[in-house]
Amino acid sequence: MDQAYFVQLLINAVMLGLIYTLTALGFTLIFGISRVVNFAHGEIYMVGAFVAYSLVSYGHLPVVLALLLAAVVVGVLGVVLEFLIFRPIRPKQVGTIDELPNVIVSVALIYIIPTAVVLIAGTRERTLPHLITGSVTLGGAIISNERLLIMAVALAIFVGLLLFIWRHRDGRAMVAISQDTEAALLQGVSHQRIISLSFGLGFGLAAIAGALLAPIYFIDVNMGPPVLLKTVIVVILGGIGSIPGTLLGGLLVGFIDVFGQAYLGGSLPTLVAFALVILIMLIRPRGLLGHD
Amino acid sequence: MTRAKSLAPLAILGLLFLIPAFTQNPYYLYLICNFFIWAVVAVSLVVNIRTGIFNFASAAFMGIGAYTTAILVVKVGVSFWLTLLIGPLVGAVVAVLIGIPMLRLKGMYFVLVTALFCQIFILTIVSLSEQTGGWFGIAGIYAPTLFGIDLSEKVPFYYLVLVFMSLSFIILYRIWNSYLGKIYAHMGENEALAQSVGVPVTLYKVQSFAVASFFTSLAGCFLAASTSYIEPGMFSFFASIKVWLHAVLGGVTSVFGPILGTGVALGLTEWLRGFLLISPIILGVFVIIVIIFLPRGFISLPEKILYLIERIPRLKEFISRRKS
Repeated sequence: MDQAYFVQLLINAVMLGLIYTLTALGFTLIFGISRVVNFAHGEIYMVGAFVAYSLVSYGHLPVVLALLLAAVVVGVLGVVLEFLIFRPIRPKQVGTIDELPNVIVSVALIYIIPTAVVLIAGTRERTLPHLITGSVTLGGAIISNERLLIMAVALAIFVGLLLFIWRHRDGRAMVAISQDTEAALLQGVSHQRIISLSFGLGFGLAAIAGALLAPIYFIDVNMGPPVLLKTVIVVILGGIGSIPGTLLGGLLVGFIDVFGQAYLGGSLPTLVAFALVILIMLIRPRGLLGHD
Repeated sequence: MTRAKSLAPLAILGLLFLIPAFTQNPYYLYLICNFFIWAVVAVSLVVNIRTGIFNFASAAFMGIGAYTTAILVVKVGVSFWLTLLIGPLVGAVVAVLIGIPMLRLKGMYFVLVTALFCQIFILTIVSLSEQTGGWFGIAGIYAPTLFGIDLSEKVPFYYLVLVFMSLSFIILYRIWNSYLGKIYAHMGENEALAQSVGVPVTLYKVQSFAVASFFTSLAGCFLAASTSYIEPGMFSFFASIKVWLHAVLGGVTSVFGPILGTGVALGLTEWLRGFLLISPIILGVFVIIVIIFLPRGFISLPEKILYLIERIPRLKEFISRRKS
């Protein structure tokens, strides 16, 4: 096995894995805090890519700035959506059928968002210009600087998120709410603030994940559903509510995707991922590192 | 139940039987058949929801029924009627097989895993492309003749679907209102409590799942015959999501809710077909507005109206004076 090829696959796998992790973290964040299964998460990922693209082509912003700004913009969108459509239907009691309207609303978003994007932006293929040019040689392989940068940014965001959760008051409030809502409220945590924050962060994470991969792949209105599927797999494998678990799940799926595609090809990587999910389900239902 | 309430469904059924007298337009009849099929799937789902099973695999089971019928009729030459028996049975068996491991999972995980099952189903179909036609699907699925009437003709086919789907609905309705249905409801409300009083929850959950899947697969068989062409993409978990939309829009607290929801959703989609590009937006916004105003679905409209009326003091006084 060619070492250079292997190194390239490795870099791709880690890069993709980190992106999947970020997306899945957004999903898990929204669910853990607001108990909303965001079926439109894939669409948010797609919107992030489109917003980044618009900021670059029309706003003429440097690519890296556009990425971050896209995340912020979409994060704000998340907060607004929470206010407009999720808050009015928030159930008084969890675990009842009154939680179902949330499902329906996020499903409605699956219809609305891609259509709106097509209306605004049209359907031609687009791609983002490269983040940076040039490449390095690593282990005999030529790796584009861009992929390394994407990895670095994704890792930085992940670490930033961890620091936020551990150190910042609101971050710890989020953990508290997801562990024991009533106790957290008794401590004076503002439930609404944390919920809005979870939507903002959740949407923002999906958006930046989408924007980060945009320079490498084509941006397309239909790229939402496959992302949702990957996110679901990552979350099941890693365990809901566990950040390290999500990282593990994300990297795992990234590796299966990249190496599976290289050696097996076709839809076999997806089948492998599914088989793993079934295995986990049978042996360890709460995911590799899940606690709930 | 008052006289009026028990007669209304019968009246509606009678009306449904008379529809071909008013229109023989094959497209309209096809639309109504489609409605019957998806309505039964939605009702099966609601039976599951009542049991506390948040089943997102409906599309996969429709696919099981559809592909069973398609493969047996087109490739093997088995009688259509036989497939109407085999398809649902296969669905029920698969439901039991995957239900036993899956139903151990808690709420959200079960949702994700059943959604995933739809994709697994599609991948399986695609990998067995020898037998299943892969991504290209299977065409030429037709209902047979019975007593000399060609049932694949639009009007006879309409009656065929009407008969089978209304029978399915009646059975589901009877289950819902039976002692078993009450057990399901109790399990749905508080599974731990039900288990603590001795209800074998796993058994009943698997049973509920299997029953719902049985009828969903049956509906799938008719779907195959109705469109006479099926392909894997029709059975993705986005189709399951559609069923959920129908169910919750109509209301999951009664068997009639999902029928209402399916009717409104399909009707609206059809009506908006002219506005091709923006119709998903209109549909989505409509759904959101309805659900904000009626979180419990259309079926809760009467109680919502009464609730609103109660809030108007003068009206309340007027009503209470009329009551006495």
